[in-house]
Amino acid sequence: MAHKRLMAVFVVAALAAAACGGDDETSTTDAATPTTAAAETTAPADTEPADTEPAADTTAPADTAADTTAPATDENAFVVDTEACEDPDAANAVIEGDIKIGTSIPLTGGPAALFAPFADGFQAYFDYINATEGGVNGQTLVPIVKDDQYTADITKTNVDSLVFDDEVALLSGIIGSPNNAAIQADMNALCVPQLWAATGAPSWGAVDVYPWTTGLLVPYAVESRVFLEYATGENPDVATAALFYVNNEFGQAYAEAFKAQVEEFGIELVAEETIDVTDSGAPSGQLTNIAAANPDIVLAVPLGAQCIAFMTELGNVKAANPDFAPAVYQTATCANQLFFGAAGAGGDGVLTSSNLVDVANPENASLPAVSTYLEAFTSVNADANPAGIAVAGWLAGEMTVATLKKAAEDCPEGITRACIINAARNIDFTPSLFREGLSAVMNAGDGFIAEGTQIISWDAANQVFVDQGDVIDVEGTTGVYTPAS
Amino acid sequence: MAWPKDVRRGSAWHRVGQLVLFGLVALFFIRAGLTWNRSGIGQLTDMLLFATAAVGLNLLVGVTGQISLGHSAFFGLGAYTSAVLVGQYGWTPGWTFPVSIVLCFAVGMVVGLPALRLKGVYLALVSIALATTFTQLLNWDRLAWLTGGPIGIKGLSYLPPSWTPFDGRADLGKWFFWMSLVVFVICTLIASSMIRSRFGRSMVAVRDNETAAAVMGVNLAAVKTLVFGLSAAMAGIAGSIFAMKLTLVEPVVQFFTLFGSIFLLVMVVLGGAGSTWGPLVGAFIFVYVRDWASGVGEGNGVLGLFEGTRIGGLGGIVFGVLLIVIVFVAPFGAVGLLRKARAKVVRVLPRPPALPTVANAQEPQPPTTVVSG
Repeated sequence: MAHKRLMAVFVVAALAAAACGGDDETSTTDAATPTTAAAETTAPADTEPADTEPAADTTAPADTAADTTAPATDENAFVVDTEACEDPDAANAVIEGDIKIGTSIPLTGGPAALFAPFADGFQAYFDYINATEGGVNGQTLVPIVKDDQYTADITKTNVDSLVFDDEVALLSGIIGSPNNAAIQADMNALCVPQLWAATGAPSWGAVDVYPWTTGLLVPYAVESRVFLEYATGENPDVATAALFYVNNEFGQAYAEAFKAQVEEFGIELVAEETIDVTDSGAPSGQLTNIAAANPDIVLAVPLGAQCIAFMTELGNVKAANPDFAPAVYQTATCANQLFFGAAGAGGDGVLTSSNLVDVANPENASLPAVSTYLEAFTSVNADANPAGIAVAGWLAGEMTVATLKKAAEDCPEGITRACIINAARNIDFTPSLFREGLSAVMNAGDGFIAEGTQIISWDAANQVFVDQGDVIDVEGTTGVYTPAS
Repeated sequence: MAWPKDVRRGSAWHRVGQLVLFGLVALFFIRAGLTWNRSGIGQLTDMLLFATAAVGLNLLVGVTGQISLGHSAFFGLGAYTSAVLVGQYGWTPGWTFPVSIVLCFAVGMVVGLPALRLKGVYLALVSIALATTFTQLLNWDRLAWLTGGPIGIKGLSYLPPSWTPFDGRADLGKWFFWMSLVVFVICTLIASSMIRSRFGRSMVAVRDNETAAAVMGVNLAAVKTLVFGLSAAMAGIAGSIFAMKLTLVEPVVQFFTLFGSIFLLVMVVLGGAGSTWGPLVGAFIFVYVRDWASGVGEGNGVLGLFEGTRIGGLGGIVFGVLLIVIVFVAPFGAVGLLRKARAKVVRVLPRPPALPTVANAQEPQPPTTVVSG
């Protein structure tokens, strides 16, 4: 065991050395220092022989790593520093047996409960990989799902239980900006990978401060920019905008980005309305105020079931105010047949975006990725709607597996938590359900995987999303995020 | 030998029995604190904090008979006091606890004023208004500079002070556990000695017959406002530690909302309103039964019958049904049920009446006794 840990430490050292290859002597020493310290803490008795005799060993993993991992030679490769961890040994310990993957999502309670099918999509991908490939690295994948009702304090309790009782190797696909924010500091101190957080808040790109947390969705700032570009492209006379958002981190992340961007585009913000997280009623007052301001465009950021209430009420307000006909964009987290279908006529023509193939569109049914997904999903839950949020669950599962495969490849001695986060932060992968031309890429200088998307609009008559224009890809342009404090 | 055995309160056997019970409970907590993992200890810490708040609520509801559905506001006020002082003004967390206690005590006294005129369902309504107004205030834009608005205050940290035997982040869970245990024990001692005091008898008198109590010379205003204040202070200190343990506060945290008030009331009733052990037993049942129930119907759920179907909120339904069953089976709470069971084996008889010369110092009666003219 100690030997394996030592090997793992060497590999990290080799990666670090390779990554800093072009630097001066000081930085090489810096990279090497933590490794020596880690070796001392792991097996003090072995330190001396390790320093002298197996000098050849030290280079061997380095060669292997250099051969198999492109990022190791890349200046932009990310290498995590496990010395900052509460328990560096745990971060570098090889994960034996089944690989347990924990997640916490809202299965019950409040508007966010409609996100529950995410769990089925998530489960379906691991079932599929276990059945077709026998897991990853010969290790079976075991997802463990807990319900947090979209409440951050329950997420925290769940994650404690996942990490310390279930002893999961990593967390993945946790839904919600406040929920992921609540555990981010803890997971980064413990050095437990908190992968593919199902939110688009900027904090998941904080590579330097919170390297152990990675995001899954298109950053909200990218999304609102894509909408503004689309809207002004369609109608160069756009002069006024209104903003409707849920009053929490998720909504506010959007609001901040949008407010900064409208200024840039020379558009005046004429109305700003909010809704509480737990409010599942129709936002009549808010939409009446927006209609009174009669903006050219509206950005709406409701949460879960609020997407339906927003569109239904939008239909009512439009019917009462024939002059009120703005271009309305709803957050991609609402881009779900279930939500739009339930909104009736109110959803017609409402814009949203998606970086994924529309699995509900019959035209896509023949795509192999879609049929694989639908088959796997049905075997997990034949009653649930496979479109919408369930696809995001599948994507989170697929990204997790891609990460683990890369980790297994980069660390032939066995997968460790450090290998997993290095693999995630250096991922270059094309998920099967991504739209053509898009791919998931991250490295030390790029903290976000998904930076391209397709504007779509809802056709209520045919109950289908229709593409508007082309995929807009700004991959690699958002860089990394630096928190304010 | 005939059962049940009679044991006189205050006799050697009675004391031995009490010591054994205390010893067993203490042993459980010490063992848990030393051997349980971080998640187990975390859950037990939450339980102790809820129990501490419930001890306060028990004084108010169980002993003094004043219904409050606003205790989440005091729990939240304590939490936000610490969070604001630590997060916005850089205080050391430990120094915020006395501030929380004093602030919640003062606010509790003020909130107790309506209780001077209102009773029963009307007082309950006022307290509900308190709980809902509190979360509205937390969400209010104008106060966002202080409370952080809907986002709340994040990234709070309270590492074990250097004088403790705990070492840094790794021992954080243990630090919170022992701190919560000490706070709980102190609050329970305060509550139980209060119940046995002259003031405690006034509280019981107010609960059982307010008019008669007033006639007998009990100062209703003083009793009610003081109990409200004390009760709020206990909820406040529990909330303060809860916030530091959670590392964040935000308006949607369940225990800061009306749900929290209902949960605390459920704990008091489940455990046994008016009894010293009630809050602890109630909180224990609440936390662990809720946790067990939430697993029902999930992948490795308890009821294999429902496996794979994932009925939304099944855990909640199971929990609700359990609550109803417990209230039916044990109308005086779990502690009442245990007492009933114990009575089959051992019957605790009250002390013989005290001598007339020390009449004022007589032993307290069980809280259920009617003290009225």
